[in-house]
Amino acid sequence: MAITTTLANLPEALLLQASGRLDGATSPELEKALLPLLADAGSRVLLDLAALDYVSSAGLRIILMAAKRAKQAGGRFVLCGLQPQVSEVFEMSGFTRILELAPTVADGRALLAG
Amino acid sequence: MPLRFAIRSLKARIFLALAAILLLVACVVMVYSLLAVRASAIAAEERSVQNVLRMAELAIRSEYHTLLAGKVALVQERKARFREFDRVVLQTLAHYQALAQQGRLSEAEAQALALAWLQKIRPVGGEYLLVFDRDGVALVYPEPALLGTQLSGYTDFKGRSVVAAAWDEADRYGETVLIYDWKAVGSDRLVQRYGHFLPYRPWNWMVASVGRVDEVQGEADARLAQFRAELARSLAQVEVIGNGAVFVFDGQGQWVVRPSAANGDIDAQAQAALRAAAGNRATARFRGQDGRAMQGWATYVRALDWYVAVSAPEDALTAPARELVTRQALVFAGGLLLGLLLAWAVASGIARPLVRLGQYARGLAGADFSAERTQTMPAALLDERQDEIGELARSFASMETALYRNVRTLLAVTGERERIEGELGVARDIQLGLLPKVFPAFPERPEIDLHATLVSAREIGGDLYDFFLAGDTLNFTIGDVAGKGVPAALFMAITKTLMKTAGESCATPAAAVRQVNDHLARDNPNLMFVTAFNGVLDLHSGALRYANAGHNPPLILRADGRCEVLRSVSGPALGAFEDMDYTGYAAQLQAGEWLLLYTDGVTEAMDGEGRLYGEARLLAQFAALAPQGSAASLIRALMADLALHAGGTDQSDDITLLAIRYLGVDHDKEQT
Repeated sequence: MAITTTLANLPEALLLQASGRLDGATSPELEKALLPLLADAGSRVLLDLAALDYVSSAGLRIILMAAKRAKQAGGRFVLCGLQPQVSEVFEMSGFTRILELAPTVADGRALLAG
Repeated sequence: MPLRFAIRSLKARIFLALAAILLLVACVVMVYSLLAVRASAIAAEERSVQNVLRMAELAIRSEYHTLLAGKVALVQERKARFREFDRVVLQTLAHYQALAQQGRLSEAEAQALALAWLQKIRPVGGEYLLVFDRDGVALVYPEPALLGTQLSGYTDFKGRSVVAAAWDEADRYGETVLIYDWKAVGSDRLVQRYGHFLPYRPWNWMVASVGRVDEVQGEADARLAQFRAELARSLAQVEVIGNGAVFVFDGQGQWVVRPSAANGDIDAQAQAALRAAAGNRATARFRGQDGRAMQGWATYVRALDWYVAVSAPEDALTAPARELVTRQALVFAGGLLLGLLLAWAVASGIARPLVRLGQYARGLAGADFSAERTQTMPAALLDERQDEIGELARSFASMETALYRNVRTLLAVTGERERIEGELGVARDIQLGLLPKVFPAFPERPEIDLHATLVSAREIGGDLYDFFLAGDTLNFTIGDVAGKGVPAALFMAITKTLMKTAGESCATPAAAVRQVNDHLARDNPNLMFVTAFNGVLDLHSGALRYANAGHNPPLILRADGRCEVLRSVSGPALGAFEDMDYTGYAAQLQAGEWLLLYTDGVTEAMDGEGRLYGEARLLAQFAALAPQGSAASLIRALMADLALHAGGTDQSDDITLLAIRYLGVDHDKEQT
């Protein structure tokens, strides 16, 4: 019922790894960890959700906000490593069309590097 | 019951505790002093008894020695007197002989005169005067019949002839004293006598002064009897504890000094016990005649073969100790009474402020904390006492202050909350008022059977549904705003309104959702979004056109029992990004087929262990329940199954269900 995040500096981007559940109760935590990373112009952030088991609509909102910030700041925000049940939520909500997604961290880094 | 209540009170407990301590101390001291005093009293009594015995013994011994000495002196004195008397007699005889020598008298005349004189005199302190010649012929004797007869038949205590022994010893020593048995004057009974024998040699006469031995013994016995009487008198005056007696008995068990009448219970058995005790100076124990336990002590005077003894009842010996303890008990009882009064006062002193505090606390319990304070803590408790009770009183006072403060704060907060809850209630009414709730919704249109329900997790929620007829088409929408509470409810209201407007003005669901998305996204800083499904069902043909903006895929139950899931997604949820394109889709419903729309509150409803209701169960329940009845009964049954799954777990998300059964036109015609 909780979420934990770890941040790493990669040459091409900041890598934030989230694990646990992302729902109405835990989304403020991700918001605090994720949004500041995208404040700077041109910032590149890779969010690895490989260890995330569940995402709710409130969690989706944080992801959307991150994507919007990145767009406004001229940066890039890429999601990677979505588990099937998480990916399904993204698919269903239709947000896969407006978010940049990559299968793995390596793919995400390649995407950001290009 | 009143007793139990009394013991429960603190005052009574303190009092009882103090009383118990006092009683315990008193008992310990009394028992100890009883034992100590008893032991020392008995020891003192025994000492005094031993002293009495010792004094009696000493008195007896000294008197005995006096008696012995007196007897010896008496005999010596008699002897001296007899000797003196005999010498006087001899001088007189010598005088008579001198008369004969001078020639005034003849020898025979002188002797006859002398005998006549001798017949008339008696020795001082003696019985009679005896004169006999060398042949043992009696010349002077009180009995005239025996004059001129032989006296040689009398023997002394050594068995010699008295006459022979007298002459023999007088010849050797000049004079002698003999003790012998001689018959009494005027009878043949033998009486022990003693005599002083002095010879008058010129005439060969033996002059003897004779006395009775029993006269001397009698005098000694008289003195002894006198001593006994005196002893009895003086012993009677000796006070022995508890009517005890001092008495004397001899080795044969004969009384020398009888015990007083009150102590008539000294029998042979008691004497035996006392005799045994006298040997080792021990305490003799025996039973009195009435069964009383007696104690006695005795001492033995060997010279007289006397036992001097003291005895007393045992309980009398311990009486002083008992008396002392009784007095002590009285003193203690008095002290205890005073102590108890004091204890009562102390207990009351401790309990009184507590009782006042208790009254105060009861007042506190009944106090209206929202009003002004009605009672104040007595200053005597609050300020003057520095002990634990004062501390308690101050705690009470500060508690009361805190209670007043907290209750007022609570009232303010509660008032605020009630106001908010009231407003939320109004908001809920408004929100629910936005939704169509009259069922059956379209009784005039037999082509469709439609039912919907919305259950918010909180007072107001973010789910929505809507449906309306536009000509021969049914426009219906279901939506779910991300998030909950007031923001979600506001967003829901906007969406519902926009959706209705768009549905009425736009040609297709895809165009409608695109228009709504643009409206919502235009000014949406918080990036609120709403998933929505909008469909338009042609009531004539059963043709369905729809657009799904990121909402849970609706379900179709075909006439043959198959279940289909409309997984096509037209575009992202509404409100997130502007200028999104939405794809329109189409499906075909045959008469009797069902369409079920729902929000994720249904599929993500959790049971007690966090397991989700799930799409699969919804599908199965839908397929099983729908054929059995109307749209309303289907939704009731699905809600019941949801409740069964949740099993009392709090609902975490809004739940919305919208069921539509297309009944077809032909069916309508058949009915009419």
